[in-house]
Amino acid sequence: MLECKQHDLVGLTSEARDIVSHEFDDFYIIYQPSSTETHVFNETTTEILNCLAHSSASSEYVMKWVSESIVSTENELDPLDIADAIQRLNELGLIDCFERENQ
Amino acid sequence: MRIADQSIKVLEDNLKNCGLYVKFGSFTVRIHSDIPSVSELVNHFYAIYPCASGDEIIDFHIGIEKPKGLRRWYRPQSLFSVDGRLTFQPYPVEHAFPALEWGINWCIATRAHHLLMLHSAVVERNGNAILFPAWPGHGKSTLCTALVHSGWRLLSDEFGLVRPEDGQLLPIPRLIPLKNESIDVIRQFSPGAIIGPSFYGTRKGTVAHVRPPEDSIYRMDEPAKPRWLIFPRWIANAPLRIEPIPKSQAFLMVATNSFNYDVLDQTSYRLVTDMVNNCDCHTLVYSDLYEAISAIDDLTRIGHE
Repeated sequence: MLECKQHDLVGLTSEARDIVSHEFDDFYIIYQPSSTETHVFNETTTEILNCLAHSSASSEYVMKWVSESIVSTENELDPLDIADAIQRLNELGLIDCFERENQ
Repeated sequence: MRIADQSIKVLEDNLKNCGLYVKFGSFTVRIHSDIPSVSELVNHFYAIYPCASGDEIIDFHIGIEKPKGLRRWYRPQSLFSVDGRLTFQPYPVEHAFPALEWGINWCIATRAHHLLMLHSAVVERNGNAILFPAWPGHGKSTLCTALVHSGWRLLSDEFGLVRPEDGQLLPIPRLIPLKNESIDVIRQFSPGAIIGPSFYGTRKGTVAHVRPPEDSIYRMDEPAKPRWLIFPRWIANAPLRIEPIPKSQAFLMVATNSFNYDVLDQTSYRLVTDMVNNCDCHTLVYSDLYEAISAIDDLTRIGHE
């Protein structure tokens, strides 16, 4: 697992495509078959996965996309919170980070 | 055939020799014991439980027996065994019956992985069940005992057994072990309740068992649909509070209160998700049983209409 840096490209792993999700209130209860774990994701974390559903993107793009998609209904997001969520998804094996020069 | 259909002599012989076959809901248990106090209490408490024929598959072969050697006579002990294996340190012989009751529950909790097992009391009325998932000491058994002596049917005071095929709750109406102050609380609340002797100084303090009402035992093959999730907490002198909680929080509280959520993987996820979706979810803080039962009756009447 490579730690996500600010200018990395970020993409979903195959494990992320198998997850099962159910929305309760403003939270998402996620089942991850590859680890057999159940997670609770907030909207920010779920939006990161939504952002990457169709293609990989840079970390900056993900942060901007998520900020814009949530800011309409919520208070402004702290970019550090989004970066933390990206890092956590990486640790769970749901996203991969690639150094851009390797692409 | 029920246990009471045989004489105490036959029951004692069965316990000592071929074993006594008892049905607790969907579980069949064979019990061996050579301890007189166990046969007396089995005769007293299990009288209306159904016997199994002996041709059925036995889920657990249980023994609660005197050891061989000195401890049979000097400060006598009792040994709990499952399928012929000793699983725990010896108990004083006077605690043999609570050890038997606790041990059967332990067998279910550690082995019945064909079901999702929630640590929860479950009661039913009109086909709809309330689950009371709670940590030990939160007043689950006391509240459950009061409810089943107030018109609700007992499915279990300990296990929410969820059938994976359809999410229905399976009854296992076993004796309810009340602890410490709860014993007198229930004696006062329901003087007609069948409560056995108090066992002092057990690993859980003073324990006395309550036999479920007859109707709960006779209907032990009748499952129920989960309709309410209520997370109880008894706090001394606290005013009654019954409040809805977010379903995401209820999901986590149910999943973390399960005996085997991790064992069943995605099946658990599906079952808990469906259950939380189909239930109204509340927390309940109480100190007075009458107030709590009245509030539960009101809540479930509204929810049922």
